Amino acid sequence: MSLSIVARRYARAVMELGIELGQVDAIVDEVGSFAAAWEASPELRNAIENPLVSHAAKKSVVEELASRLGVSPTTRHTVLLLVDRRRAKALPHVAQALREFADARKGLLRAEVTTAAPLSEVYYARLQVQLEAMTGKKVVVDRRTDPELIAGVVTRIGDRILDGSLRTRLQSLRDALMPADA
Amino acid sequence: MKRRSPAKRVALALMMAVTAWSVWTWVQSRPAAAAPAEKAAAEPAKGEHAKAEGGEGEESGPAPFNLTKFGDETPPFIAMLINFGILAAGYYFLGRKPVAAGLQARRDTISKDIEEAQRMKVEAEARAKTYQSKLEKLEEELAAARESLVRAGEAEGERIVREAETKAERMRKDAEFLVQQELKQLRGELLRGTVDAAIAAAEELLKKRVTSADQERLAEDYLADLGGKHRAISVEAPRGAIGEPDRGSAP
Repeated sequence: MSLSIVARRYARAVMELGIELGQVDAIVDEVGSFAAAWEASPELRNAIENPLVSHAAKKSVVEELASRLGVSPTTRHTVLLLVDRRRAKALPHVAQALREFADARKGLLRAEVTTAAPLSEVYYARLQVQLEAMTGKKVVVDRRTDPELIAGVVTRIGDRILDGSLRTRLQSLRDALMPADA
Repeated sequence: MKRRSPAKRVALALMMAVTAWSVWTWVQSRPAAAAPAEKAAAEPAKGEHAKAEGGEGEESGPAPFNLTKFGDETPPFIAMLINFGILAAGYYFLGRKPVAAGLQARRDTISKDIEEAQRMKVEAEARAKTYQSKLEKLEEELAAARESLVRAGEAEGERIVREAETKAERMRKDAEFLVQQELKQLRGELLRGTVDAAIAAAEELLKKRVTSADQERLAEDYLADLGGKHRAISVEAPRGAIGEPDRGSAP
């Protein structure tokens, strides 16, 4: 089964729990913090995914990390459940799905705006207005930078991608120059 | 058993009687015939003695011819004739039909054999004629066969040559096609390499020469492009969001 599908099911369950407890935003942020730590630390991934490491040691690592991050018991139990079921690898997907569910619940659209270099605040504000005009919904802009774009902006809203990067233009130029059967 | 007619019975009886009589007569006449010999063997001394005594004796010579007198030492000649006549008549009456039938059968058999021989002769002559005609035509047939074989060989040779030419043409076309494909592939690879190199060079150049002003200009162009086209984006809520049906349940 695809990892994202599994992650969405976990996220749905956690979301229901968060709504029940009235801690949706906190849980979303906490799970996001865990996911960021997971992605940032190869040592953490190795410790949790290594079959030579005992299960108790893995749980103690998660407990230690949870106490350092100061997360709620719900978030801690969620991560421990993923470790118990050997689904820790799905943690970033769970965090993303949780954020999408939370945004959808609030009627928000999250737009991931990637630029080659940081732009001015004014520009991001104008872009947000433009995106809200286009979608008819309130848009939250997540900013990212990727020098590989060379220049330009790429916006991802849901499954849609609005690509205005120089890298993509060069790729289009390459495709146009290539023969059809090459 | 075949029953004989009365005449044949009588004739058979007469033949048997005559035969028996002849045998009896022969037996009766045998001692009388042997007696003179014995007498002749016993009497030489007696004869010499008589000669010596008086010179008298009987003259020995052939017996007189008995034609019709019965009861004499030798049977009468007429009896032999009668006997012969009866036997001849008996043989004639009794053996006429079987002998005739046998001769007829023999004649028929011989006729059939002759006819069969004639037929075989005719057939043999016909075969001989056929073989003769075949022998006469043998040279022609040999020549015709030789010519036919030569023609067949020539046709086979032409066919083989045609097939070889066709195959060679096909191989030539295949080779040309392969060469064209190779050329096409090489052209494509060359073009792809050239384009990739050009794009990579352009990318490197752009990375080096793009300034913050260019960044802002491209960002403004992007924004203008979004606003100028007035594109409406419909973004669906994420699948499995709360309040919406989801397939399956959380594991």
